[in-house]
Amino acid sequence: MSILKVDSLVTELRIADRHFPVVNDVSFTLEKGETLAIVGESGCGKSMLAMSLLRILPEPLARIGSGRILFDDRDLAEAGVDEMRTIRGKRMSIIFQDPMASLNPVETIGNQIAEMICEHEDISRRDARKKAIELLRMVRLPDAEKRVDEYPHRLSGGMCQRVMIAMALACRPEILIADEPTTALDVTIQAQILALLSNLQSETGAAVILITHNLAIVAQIADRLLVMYAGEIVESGTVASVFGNPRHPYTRQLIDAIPKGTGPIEGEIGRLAEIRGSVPALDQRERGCNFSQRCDCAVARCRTDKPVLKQSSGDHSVACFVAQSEAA
Amino acid sequence: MGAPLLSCKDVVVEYKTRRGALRAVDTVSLDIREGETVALVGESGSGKSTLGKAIVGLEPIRSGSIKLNGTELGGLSRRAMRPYRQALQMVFQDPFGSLNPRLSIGRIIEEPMLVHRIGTAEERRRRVAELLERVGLSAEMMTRYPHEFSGGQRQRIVIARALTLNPKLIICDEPVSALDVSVQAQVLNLLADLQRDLGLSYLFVSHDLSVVRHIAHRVVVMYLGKFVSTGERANFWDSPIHPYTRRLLESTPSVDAVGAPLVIGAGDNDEIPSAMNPPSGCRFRTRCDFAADICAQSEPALRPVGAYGMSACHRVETLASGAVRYGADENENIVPIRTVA
Amino acid sequence: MTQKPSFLSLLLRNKAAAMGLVVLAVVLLTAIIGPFLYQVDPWAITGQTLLWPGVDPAHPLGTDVLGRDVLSGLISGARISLLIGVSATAASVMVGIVIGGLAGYFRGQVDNVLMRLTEIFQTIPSFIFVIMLVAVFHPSITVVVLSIATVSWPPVARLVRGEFLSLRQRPYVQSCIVVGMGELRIIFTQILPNAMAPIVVTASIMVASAILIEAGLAFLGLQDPNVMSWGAMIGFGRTVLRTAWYLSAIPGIVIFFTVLAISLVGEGLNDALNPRGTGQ
Repeated sequence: MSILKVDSLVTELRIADRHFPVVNDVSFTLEKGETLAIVGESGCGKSMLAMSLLRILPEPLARIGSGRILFDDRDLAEAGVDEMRTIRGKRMSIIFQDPMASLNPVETIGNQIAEMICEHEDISRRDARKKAIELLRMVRLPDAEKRVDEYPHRLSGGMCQRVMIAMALACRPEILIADEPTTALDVTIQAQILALLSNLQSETGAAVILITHNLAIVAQIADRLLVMYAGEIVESGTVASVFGNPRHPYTRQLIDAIPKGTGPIEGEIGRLAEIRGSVPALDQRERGCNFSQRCDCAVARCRTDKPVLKQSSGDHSVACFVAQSEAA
Repeated sequence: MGAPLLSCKDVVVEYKTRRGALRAVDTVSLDIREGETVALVGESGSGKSTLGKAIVGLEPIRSGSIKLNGTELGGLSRRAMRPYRQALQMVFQDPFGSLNPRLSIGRIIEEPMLVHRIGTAEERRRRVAELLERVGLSAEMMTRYPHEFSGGQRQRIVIARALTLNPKLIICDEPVSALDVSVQAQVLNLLADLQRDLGLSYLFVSHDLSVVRHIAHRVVVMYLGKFVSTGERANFWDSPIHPYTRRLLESTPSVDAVGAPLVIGAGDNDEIPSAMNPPSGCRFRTRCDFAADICAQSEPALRPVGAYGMSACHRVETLASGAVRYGADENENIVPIRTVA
Repeated sequence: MTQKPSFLSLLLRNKAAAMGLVVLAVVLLTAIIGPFLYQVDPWAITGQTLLWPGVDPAHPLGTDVLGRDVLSGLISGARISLLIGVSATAASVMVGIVIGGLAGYFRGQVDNVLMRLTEIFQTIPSFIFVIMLVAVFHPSITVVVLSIATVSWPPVARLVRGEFLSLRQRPYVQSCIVVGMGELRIIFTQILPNAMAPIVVTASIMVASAILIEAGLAFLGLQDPNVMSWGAMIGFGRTVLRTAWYLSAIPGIVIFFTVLAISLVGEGLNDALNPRGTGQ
């Protein structure tokens, strides 16, 4: 059952009084309890997409241009400020890349969590504090009873991210958006935080939208993924089918560009497959496929027409003329 | 093989803090040969960047020696060190902070030649053009300014500048961590090409084991200021003999492991201890799945272990013999299964 | 990549700053060419005393208690105010850059000593300190400029120190050390140019405060008695404030608008020089 349906969403960024679509005609659905990864390189619009869902875009610099975000048959793209306030934090919450910067440095973590709970629930300060300790235990913060009165700078990055997760899950949201949640952390801590996230997800039944540039994380913890390039979804499907049989040239090249973590080691240092060039800037995006300038298999049509996302098999969809004609 | 290009012996780097001295690098020794890439791996606070900076003289060393082609650099003043600078360069992590925003690309690349009073204006200009093309950019870009370039292009410019004086060794401090995957591959390939063509050596400081696995001839793993394990490319990866190396490898997600659960330590919440106050005995013991009493009592020395390389672990023989294996517990977390040897 | 808009267009985009720039240009033009267009000696007794503005076309802004022309006094005052504002600021910025730069670049003991010194200067109430300095030395334009500079440099030094502390850690500065660049060269070619933006902004505000301090001194009669300045004019009008209030009001309004204009331009500079404000 889907709980969120995004339909032809366009988010625009204003630069020098012109509007550029940073998220361009994006549609997808989020199923209950699943982990949906949105992957892409910097500038692909993945964070703008996340901010659009929660309506926390840096207005007036960025705004939703058109499209719908259907959550419980309500269109969040049209929802008022007050309505969004009742949804954010309570039914849909977000954790960011830099946990230190997301916490208020002059307030104890316990108070910050309690405040968050009081915002959405009719609860006494005392009970909120009790609940904060409970939540800190749930995210396995060691010595939760003592740590609840600590200030953020006394905690490590990993612990701060645990606190952020506790805060995000305080009201048992239906959707948790995790925007690069472990990018600032060491690998060992990253593994712990990701394991914690997936444990809590199965406990609470929340759906997780994981936004990341790290394909390896996606391969190991997501159920489905959307690959974004220059503001558009170029490929989507289950993790097994996309990684097993990447259809879009961008996805394929992206996977190939990652140094392999396993397999035999050659004696000499080999070359990695690289994607030549770079993502076209907002004002250099043309009519055709945005990837055509960097693509090895582009045909004439790719430079003039824009391919749309089409289902190729099962849940696997791809926006590429070449891949679509191969399938047909 | 001849004498190493760079030879560090018992290097100690200390920071003074309000609460006492912090040993960021604690008595480590490292040789780098010509044409070789040595990767220095570790988590934040391991001292890997500090050691890199100490080698190029950005951090003073407390004791020990750093020799470049047999010349001691450790005690040299900035002025006395100047002639050796040409052989030793550094590439930093942040491609946005690595270029002076107010200078043109041409000027930025030319600067090292100006400092060392090399060549005429025309010769320098030609050298800048050659370097830009060498790193895959075009010579016309020299009049442009840093803000006009993407992260990957900037890192190429930084590399061009580092190459200006024909160095022997480049310390690369997380050179691709800030870059996108597709651009990361471009820069790693460029580094490999330059090494092949110019015979460069790299000290490659990184936290990303997949990158290190791809590019390094030799790997050194650092933890809280100490080397815990070292090994050659050919045999380091398949049999990680130090428990910390093993943990790092297992924690690193991989695109080849679709759907595989991530491995976390037996304690699912282990934090890196502060280097101010490292644990007694083996520094990793507080997070180690295999720690025994001896690990708290004495500090293990870095010693050769069979054909695998070097390891600083009391229990490495037990581990290597296969007495400890991994399995899944009732929550499907991967945990070590201890068997009595 | 879009072309970076020019600095001037960024500054002018800010309407308040553009207005300030216009007012400032008027004051500047008055100071430079005013004396040639309106050749009346501000000290000469040229007419009836206490002539209200607009009464006599020969004295468009009237005359003071002694019958001196008010307009010529304003023109002369514009010169003095700008001269003192700019030179006192230049002197204090220079001192501030040297002291803050040394402290921020070399850190450690150098920093400790210089910052304690800065704090000593900062804890003395500045206007009283200026009065004391001017009173001790013989009041002249030079003494006034140097006294104002003496009390104004500490904020610049602190600002420059902060900038230097942060900039010297930037990879591009570190990379210059690795290349073997000398200390002075690093300071002058790498760090200082990148620290200039906030210094320029602070300096523009300091010009305004220097003008105010000078006006205060002149009002109290502590300025060189042979200098016709705005502050002195307010002081002259003090005794007849109830009957001929225009004598104090006119130079007062001029000071107000000049200082306001400079502050607006300073604000505008702040926005224009701030990289986050450049359209992104």
